[in-house]
Amino acid sequence: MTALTGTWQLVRLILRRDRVLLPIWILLLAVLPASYASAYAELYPTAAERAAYLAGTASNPSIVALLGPVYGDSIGALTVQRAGLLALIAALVSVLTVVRHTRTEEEAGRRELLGATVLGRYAGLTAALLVTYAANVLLGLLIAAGLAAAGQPGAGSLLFGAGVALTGIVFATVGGLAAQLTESAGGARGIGLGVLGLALVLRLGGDAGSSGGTGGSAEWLSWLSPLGWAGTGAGLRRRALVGAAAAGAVQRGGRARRVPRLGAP
Amino acid sequence: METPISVSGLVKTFGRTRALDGLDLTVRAGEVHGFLGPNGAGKSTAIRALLGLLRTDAGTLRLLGGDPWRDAVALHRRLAYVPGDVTLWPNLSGGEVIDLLGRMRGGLDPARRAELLDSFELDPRKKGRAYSKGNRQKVGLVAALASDAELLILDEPTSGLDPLMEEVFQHWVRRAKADGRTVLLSSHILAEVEALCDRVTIIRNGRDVETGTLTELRHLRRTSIEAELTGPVDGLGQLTGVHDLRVDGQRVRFDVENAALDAALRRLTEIGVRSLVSQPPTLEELFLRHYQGEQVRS
Repeated sequence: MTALTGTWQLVRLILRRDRVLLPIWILLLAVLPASYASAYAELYPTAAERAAYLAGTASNPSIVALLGPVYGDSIGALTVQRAGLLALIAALVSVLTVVRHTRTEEEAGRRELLGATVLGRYAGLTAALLVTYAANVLLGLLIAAGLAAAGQPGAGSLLFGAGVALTGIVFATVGGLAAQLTESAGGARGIGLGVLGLALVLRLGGDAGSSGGTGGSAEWLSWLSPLGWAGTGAGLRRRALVGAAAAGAVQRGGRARRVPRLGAP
Repeated sequence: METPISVSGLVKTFGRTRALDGLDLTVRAGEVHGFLGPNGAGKSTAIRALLGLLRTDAGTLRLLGGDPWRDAVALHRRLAYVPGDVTLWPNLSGGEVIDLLGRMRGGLDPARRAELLDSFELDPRKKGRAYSKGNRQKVGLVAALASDAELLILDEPTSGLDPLMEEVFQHWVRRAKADGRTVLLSSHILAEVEALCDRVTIIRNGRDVETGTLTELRHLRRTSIEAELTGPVDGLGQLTGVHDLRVDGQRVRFDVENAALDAALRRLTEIGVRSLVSQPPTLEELFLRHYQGEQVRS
């Protein structure tokens, strides 16, 4: 298939260019959940202390709006709530990374230099998505490994890692789609971040209106937002699986819509 | 042998602008073909169409026996391209970019790569962000010339190069020709085209206005003379081949066809010369005069 010729070379190029940036954001986001877990274990070592924290702070509507719902008073549940923002950050970085390796390259004129070599028309977008997907998968695995090492249950750790990874992957795809909808990198970033902002607002509204994840009236709003899919992981496994399925569907949709754009002024 | 480049009736519009308006261009195997035109004439648009980087609206386009858009991937194994403004990745070194472009084209000749770096005096260890405009062009040139591509497409490749490096560039283009490669060299500098090209196509407002060998285009080769004389100016206007004569007291300014240069200079020295400046006219000036009669699209 000639449309993808050269993809591997571009993957290597992206890895070479982001040899500093990529490891930094992956590692930074990866160590945080485990550090939250050990911090909670130190601060609230007994179940009674955690229950008090849950009743007082963790289920405060503004905290829930900011961080997401909390599903219990275990260290794992508190950690998952606290790490809710990580999915947002992974989503943000994923949008920016994909746009930077597609439209920004084109705008700078560097894609023309490569476009005159043996390079298929889909190779640029495919390579950018592959690298960003892989980075998110790696991030998810590291998060899971970190949580497990901090003494959390393996299955729950893996689910939370998968939730963050899938959120990043969905928004990498959103970034890829945005890059197809506009010719400028700025426009693509605007669309991608706009979608992210909308997802955040939906999640905020849903979580604030559903009183701490116990299934309130507005909870369906959270389900409209990819950002709502990740945090549910360690709390309720069934929901995380639905979230994973939804993320997969978005990603497939994104791939089907992939249209090339080369040239034009 | 197949014709490397054959274009006829090519049209490309960007909104209301007709960037290409019925362009014909034929480049024969083994020749260095000049693609000459003022800035904005449509040279780069035509080259992007040849590279399959943009779709065209009408006309036929054949590149190395294939269709530039449909067969882009296969055809690009056989050509190398240098844009007029090479942009590099800020944190990749020049050497890395040369090797990347080489790999993506299917390899380059390491001995020739080293020789090119040496003759262009390019330090391949510097990062992209540290290179000047001229050095970025050199990175593109080394990558293209070190490849074994049978067709070189060079779009104003020497912009930003100093005169010494222009010489080096000309040496390597002659060598490419001696190796049997075909070169399409776009330029807005008449002198560069004169020094290198077998045949020239002149493009203006998206359309070819003349094609031929340099001898056939001799009427374009003129020199602009500006002189301050010691005596009264007379007898210049009557000389054939002298154009656009302007006299201001003892100062004269005119263009002269190179065939009539000797006669014009004799006349000047007969009158007596205090100072004299001669220079090749810019392509824009030439075009303005030579094609004044033709309708100019805005």
